[in-house]
Amino acid sequence: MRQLLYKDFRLTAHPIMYAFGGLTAMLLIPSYPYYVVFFYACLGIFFTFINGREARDVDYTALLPVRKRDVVSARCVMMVLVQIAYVALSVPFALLNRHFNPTGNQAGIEANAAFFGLSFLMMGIFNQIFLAEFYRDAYRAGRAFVLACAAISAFMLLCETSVHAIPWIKSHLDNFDMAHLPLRLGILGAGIALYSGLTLWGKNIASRRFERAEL
Amino acid sequence: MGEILRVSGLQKQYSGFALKNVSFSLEEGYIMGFIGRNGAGKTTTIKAMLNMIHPDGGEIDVLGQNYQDNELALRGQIGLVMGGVDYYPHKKLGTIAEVTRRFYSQWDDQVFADCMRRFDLDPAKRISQLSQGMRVKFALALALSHNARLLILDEPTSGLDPVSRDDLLELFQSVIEDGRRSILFSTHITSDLEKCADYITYIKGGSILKSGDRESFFREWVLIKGSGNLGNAARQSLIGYHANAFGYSGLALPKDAERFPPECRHQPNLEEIMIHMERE
Repeated sequence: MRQLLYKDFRLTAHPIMYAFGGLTAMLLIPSYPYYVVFFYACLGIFFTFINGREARDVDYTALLPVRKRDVVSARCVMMVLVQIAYVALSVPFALLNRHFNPTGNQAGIEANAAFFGLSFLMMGIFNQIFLAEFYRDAYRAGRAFVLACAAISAFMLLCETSVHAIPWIKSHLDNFDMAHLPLRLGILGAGIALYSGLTLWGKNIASRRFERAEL
Repeated sequence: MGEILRVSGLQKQYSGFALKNVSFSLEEGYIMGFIGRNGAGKTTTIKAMLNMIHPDGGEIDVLGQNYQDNELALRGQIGLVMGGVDYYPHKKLGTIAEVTRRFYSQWDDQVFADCMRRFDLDPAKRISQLSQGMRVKFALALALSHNARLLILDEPTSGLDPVSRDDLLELFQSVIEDGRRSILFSTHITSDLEKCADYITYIKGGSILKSGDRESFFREWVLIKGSGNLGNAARQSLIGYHANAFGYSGLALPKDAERFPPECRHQPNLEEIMIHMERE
């Protein structure tokens, strides 16, 4: 598994996956739908899958003494590492945003703990759909991406609309009020748990499907 | 000498093609040529043997162990070449080798360096800068560098110039010299097999027509060549009968060959066997 992960970073990773990490600075924009930052994490990952497909990674991997399920696991670990790196990169920008932007985010939710929890959930939805769909044949990355994107776009739209449409969400989640911090931290925790569960679910379906795929 | 590979009753059904009960075996220290025309099922057999496609039935034993049950361990003992290197075209040879070596506990840097020198390959070059023949050589260098006991090579000589092919066949001989390693290689270039194969397995339309040592393979048929016209009965006893302005030819089983005059009977080479069998 470790060797496969090394292979994925050394041979398959598309440079844009790293470059989009710089877009975490978009959290400094005063008013913006901040979920877009993590959409770019997913887009970068998609580019890596496309890169692997175009470079015939499956043909190379098929020659190696590895289990198919480990091939899926390694790619899944790479996705998780990249997404966690994006979150880690974005935290300083979120803190700076709060310092420099006292009026808050007028476009959507503040970059607070609840936002990060919901962002984890969003990436978990992406991972579940994308992994499960891509590994049907380890070829149709575009189809997998469109399906996963449709789901996370609907999720983003729902979250950002709720902030404006539902007063309770506005008052409890869309601020840095210390009184509601436990709730926001709870959402962060739940988001991380759901992210882990959805990613693992997607990986398990992907492993089963890739096992059946003919190379 | 033990058996290094045994394929028993391998089956795979597609809508327009099927592998039918493919069986053969290979002992340690020998080279087996796997021949058949394009589309006969050579690559499908190799892929089904190694679980790259899922066979509908059959058993594979490698080094005396069931392949399905011990796939991961046995794959490390197999050097596999499926044509030339077509993957990661923009990566350097050295980078691909550096990644590949991590997957094999028995990778030998010295053997790899020797192969790269022998094949005149530059690690700083990218795959896309190599000709088809050089890509095959690089695939072979990777497959030969981890002390594999069984080398499975799908069309390794396709795209190589005659000098490189000859060099490669010599290399095959040196690989099996220690008597512990074996090579199964598929090809439709029959002259390669005549130079180095100890055993020949011939596949036609997804079925094994004949598998055996080279001498018994050639004893199986007699080439009948002559001029003039043949009667219907004589014609029908020939396999792949073909006539033109210069005469006729066909393969006969040894018992049928006796009806033809001695001057018409010849020892066929592999190409003649294949051509006539495929005409059948």
